[in-house]
Amino acid sequence: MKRFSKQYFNLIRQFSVTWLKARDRRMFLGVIWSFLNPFLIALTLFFIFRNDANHGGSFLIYILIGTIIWNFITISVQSATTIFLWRRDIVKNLSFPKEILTFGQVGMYVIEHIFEILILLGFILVMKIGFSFHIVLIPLIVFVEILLALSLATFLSFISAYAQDIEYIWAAFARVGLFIVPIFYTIESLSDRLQILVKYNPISQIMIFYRDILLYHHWPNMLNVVLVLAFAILFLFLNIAIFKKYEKNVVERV
Amino acid sequence: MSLAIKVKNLTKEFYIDKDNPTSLNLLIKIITLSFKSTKFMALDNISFEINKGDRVGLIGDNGSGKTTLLRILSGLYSKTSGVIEASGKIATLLNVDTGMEWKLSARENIYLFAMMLGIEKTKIEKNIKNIIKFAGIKEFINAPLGDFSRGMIERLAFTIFRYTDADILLIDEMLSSGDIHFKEESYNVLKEFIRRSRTMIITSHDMEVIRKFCNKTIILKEGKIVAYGPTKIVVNKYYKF
Repeated sequence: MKRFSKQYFNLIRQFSVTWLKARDRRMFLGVIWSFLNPFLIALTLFFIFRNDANHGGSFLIYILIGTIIWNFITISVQSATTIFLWRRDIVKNLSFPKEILTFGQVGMYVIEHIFEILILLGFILVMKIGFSFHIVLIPLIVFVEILLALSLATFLSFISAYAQDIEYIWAAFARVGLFIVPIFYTIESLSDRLQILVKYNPISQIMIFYRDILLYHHWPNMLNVVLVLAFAILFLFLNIAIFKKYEKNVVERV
Repeated sequence: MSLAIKVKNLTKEFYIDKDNPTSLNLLIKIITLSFKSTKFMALDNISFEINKGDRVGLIGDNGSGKTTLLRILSGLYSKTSGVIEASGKIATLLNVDTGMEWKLSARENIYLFAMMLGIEKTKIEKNIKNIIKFAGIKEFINAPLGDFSRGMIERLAFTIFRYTDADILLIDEMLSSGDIHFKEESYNVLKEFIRRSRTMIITSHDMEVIRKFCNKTIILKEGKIVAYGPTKIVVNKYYKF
């Protein structure tokens, strides 16, 4: 199977959909969990910040945006760090570009993330924050966000084939990272030095883009959008090139 | 006759640490230069040629290098040294239930398995009725695969495999199990492959399969080819090793 052929993309989609179905099968609520989980998070935040909700709800939406982006990136990348171990039989016995497994795994969470964004939009509507024409840029921001998750997942899934500690390192990062990206606080409340650390990482930037569009109703800094997009694309293609070169080592290693 | 596969001086070495160290131990060993691994020669300087349309049996004891050879030919493993030339697309069936999802239905698994083998989705859609019919699972097509017997899964996998459009088929230990009807049906599929002049390499411990379908046979022993030639002669030799 050639990289970037029709079959390549079809197989990624097939893995994402099939694995999501397999995960939810034999559950009472099945695919409803994909809606229910983000809805429960949003509802919990709604009750915690009820006072804010009564005064326009902007802080609730601020936190909701941070939470769903952080959850999507950390959980999808975390699951990708164990993909070759869990799907060892496929890695060892079937001949197709192995990054497809990583993409399929992240793709499963992309489907859920779409549900999360819909719930976010629903809460924006309920909070009467309203939408502006800037919303047309949201598909591009979601695309950048997915590319960023894919590039991180590809890199870490490759490294995990050699050192499975990566799963734990990423889990630790996900816990600590809660406080080094602007989920619960505003960047302006930090000292100048900390602002640089928090502001100039791509995950924070994604949060800022979403908030600019959905909360503050203005265009995000387009230079930053292009920079994050370029970083995600370059990092992704660099990782695919690494996979191409060392794929057989990965197969033998797992 | 033109060649389908040419293998020259193929060697595959694995380096195994018998202590099975943790990643940290391994790192310490490498830093302190105390890392010692044992070289395991899975394939030792083997050479052979396979003509287009040949059906080659690959036999040998467990650990003789059969699966490693198939994995290298299919591009899964790297070679340590040597040259491999293959003319045409290669499809591999090394393990029948690879990647199948037990909680999902047979129908859902047909699409998943076929696409992992590189078969176009449209081709599966066009042939889904035939696959269900041949696999003999019409009544159970929407049942979860976890409820299927091993024989049923093998039959399903083999049925899907017939739709691959590869020129060279590599089949590992597929035809040794299953009931007598399944074997008969699988034999018909293999006959169809042969009619279409597909080149095949089949590994099996079942000499009936090798005798029935392979015009040539290779015996591997400890990573070396100890015999290669017409099946009738080579299989008789196998019993003497």
